[in-house]
Amino acid sequence: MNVDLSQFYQVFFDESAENLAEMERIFLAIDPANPDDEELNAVFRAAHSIKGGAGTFGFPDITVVTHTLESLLDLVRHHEIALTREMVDVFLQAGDAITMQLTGHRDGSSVDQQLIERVCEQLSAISGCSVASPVTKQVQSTSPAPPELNAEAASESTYRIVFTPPHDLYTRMVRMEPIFEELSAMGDFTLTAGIEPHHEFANYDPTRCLAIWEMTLTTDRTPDDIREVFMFVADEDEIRIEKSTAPAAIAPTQGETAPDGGAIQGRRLYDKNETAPGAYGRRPGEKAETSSIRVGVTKVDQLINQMGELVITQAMLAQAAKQLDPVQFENLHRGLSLLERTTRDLQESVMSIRMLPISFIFNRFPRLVRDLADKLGKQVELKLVGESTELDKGLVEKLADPLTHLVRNSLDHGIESPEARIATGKSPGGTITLKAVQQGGRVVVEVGDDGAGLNRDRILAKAAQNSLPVSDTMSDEEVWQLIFAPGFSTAEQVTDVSGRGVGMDVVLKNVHAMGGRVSIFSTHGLGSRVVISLPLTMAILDGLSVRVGNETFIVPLNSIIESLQPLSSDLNEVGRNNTTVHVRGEYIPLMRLGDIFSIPGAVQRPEEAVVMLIEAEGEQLALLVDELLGQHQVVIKSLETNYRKVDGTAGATILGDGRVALILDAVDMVRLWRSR
Amino acid sequence: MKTEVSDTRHQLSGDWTIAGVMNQIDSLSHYLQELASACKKRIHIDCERIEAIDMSGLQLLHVWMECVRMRGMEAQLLNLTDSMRQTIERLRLGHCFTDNSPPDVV
Repeated sequence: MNVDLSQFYQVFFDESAENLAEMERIFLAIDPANPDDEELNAVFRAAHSIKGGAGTFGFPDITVVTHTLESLLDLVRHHEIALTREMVDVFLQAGDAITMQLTGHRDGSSVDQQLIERVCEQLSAISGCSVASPVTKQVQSTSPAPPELNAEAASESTYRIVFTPPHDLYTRMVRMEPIFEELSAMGDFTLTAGIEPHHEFANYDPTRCLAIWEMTLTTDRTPDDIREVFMFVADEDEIRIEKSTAPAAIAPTQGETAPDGGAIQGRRLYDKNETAPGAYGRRPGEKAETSSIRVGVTKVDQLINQMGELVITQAMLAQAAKQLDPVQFENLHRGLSLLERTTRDLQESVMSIRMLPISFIFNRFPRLVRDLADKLGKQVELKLVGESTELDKGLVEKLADPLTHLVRNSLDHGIESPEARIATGKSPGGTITLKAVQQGGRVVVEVGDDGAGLNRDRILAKAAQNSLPVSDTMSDEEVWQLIFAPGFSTAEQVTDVSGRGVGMDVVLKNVHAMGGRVSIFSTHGLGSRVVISLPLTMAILDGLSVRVGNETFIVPLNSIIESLQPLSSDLNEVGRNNTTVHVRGEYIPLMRLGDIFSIPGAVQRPEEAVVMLIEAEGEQLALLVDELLGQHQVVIKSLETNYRKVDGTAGATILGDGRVALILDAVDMVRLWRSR
Repeated sequence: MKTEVSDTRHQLSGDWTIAGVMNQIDSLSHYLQELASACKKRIHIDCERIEAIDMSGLQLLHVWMECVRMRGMEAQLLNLTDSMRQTIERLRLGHCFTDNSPPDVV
């Protein structure tokens, strides 16, 4: 039997990251003065899950930190100590420390041991203070614990613990050593082990656990504390804890009944107070239904690539079938129509596998904003809008860094200090808004603030100083674009938050690499908005195929407003080689695709061709094409990878007849027109 | 071949963790069959080449040694690595292997 342990490690790393994210989310939202019990239980569970996993997979350094954290959280959730904002700060730092340890184990990166020790000391210090500062909630002072329970908690007791593990203990990769070490740390601990006799080697299964352990533990901890140590390994009938005054011989516990007086019945420990699936890390095969599975990204990408090939093959079949008589080949046409529908449904399902809610990125910002605002002495509220908006996983990951730059910039440069805000008649606290919304085939992500806004004069002065071409007649939009220049910064001093001039150019570069665009809107004194528009996915799009000469182009459906055949009276010559089309009171510039791509034989007279109105970045453009061919779903193939970037295009695709068609990019077309 | 037979000394090697215990079964069974026709009163089990061992491996070793004893022979461990000793100690399984005497070191 070969078990790839690294597979289990990865699951542990992933689950721990999720647990840490959940802990951080709760801590950032929690009201220390009036914490919600459910939330306190949830963070305790998260810490406990990480600890259990770390112990099981043999990461003792993580176990130490999580154990300290968990112990403190246990006191908090039982209202034995009152939660304070300072405690939340330390909890967040502990989360960071555990994240660093996890990253260290996963990637081999260095771990700052001093930081880890400092966090543990802080946690321990809080635990130490807890004795002197119990919660003074009225509800607790009016309902004291029974005297015998108090006595039990205060004095030491000796427990006999017999653990008869399940037969699948080994195959579940459970390691008992960390559990024994944890028990040993709780008091005076002795352990004896036994292995069930098995004298027939022929039918012996070495993966089947035959061990039994008996322990005695003299401790001031409660039986519940002892049970929690076994949370991940013990089933109802596998663990028995009883008060004892003398050690007893090892005996299998199955079928036995606990003696009266002091016996504490075992139970399914990880189900304690929990009914939710996944609570306390259920084991495989438990009653709880699994709601998801983890699949490698490469497998999903492979599926999407194959899906793309299927779409192309389906288009080729549809193209070939057009030559066949629809009456004579009625069944074939019906089958192909069904194939098209099924292919489209399948494609949508497959694409949805890669889609992730943008909350995966947004959720990191409450912490970032909180820490930075504290550091900068600013009061900032972060608003998240549209967190459930879904985006391709690849884009979600690549969007994280640009958004982080933008949020830091907003905090450092945008939001003013409380004093400055009050002086300008604003409330002392500023607001940063992170918004995501799906618009057609694109996702628009916006970082906005109600701060000081961009300073046009300062940007122009700095640009001139950096020898960038500037003039006073530049529009605001053109001025804002200057901040994307490499090395550009108007910050008067460099801080560790921002001001080094690296950031916005990286933002632009990263967003462009994703096929996205960045726009800036700003009003001096009122705030700024940076808007990033991204394709929903980079794999497949719905487009309209058009003919120009003998060439076919694909125009993304989401950028098309309408198509029309203009009258001569609607056309106006403006200067040399500039034509506008008059559509319902608007004069829209005309771009001849035949001229731009140097296609011979393209129709030159607009009245004899088709004008397609497209919209991008708030501007409209009229594209002159010879003929509209039909709507298609096309698989995007990168031109840069296989050839080079072609202005005005977003890539290419393979048509049903095997020919290559360029996919037009409306935004790039608008920019192309502007540059002409 | 995970197990090498040399007179009264039996060499164990390889992975004795849950990932590798199944791979040990055949050679251990084969050796037990050889023992059935051998006239030996005592065998030494050399653990020097065991690369890694966990609870499942120790259990396998214990059960196998019990089977050896059932055939009328004494079995004693030799050359335990530090790692193996620590694992036995941490799991408190020493008594399963000592046969009333501590493991030898040769």
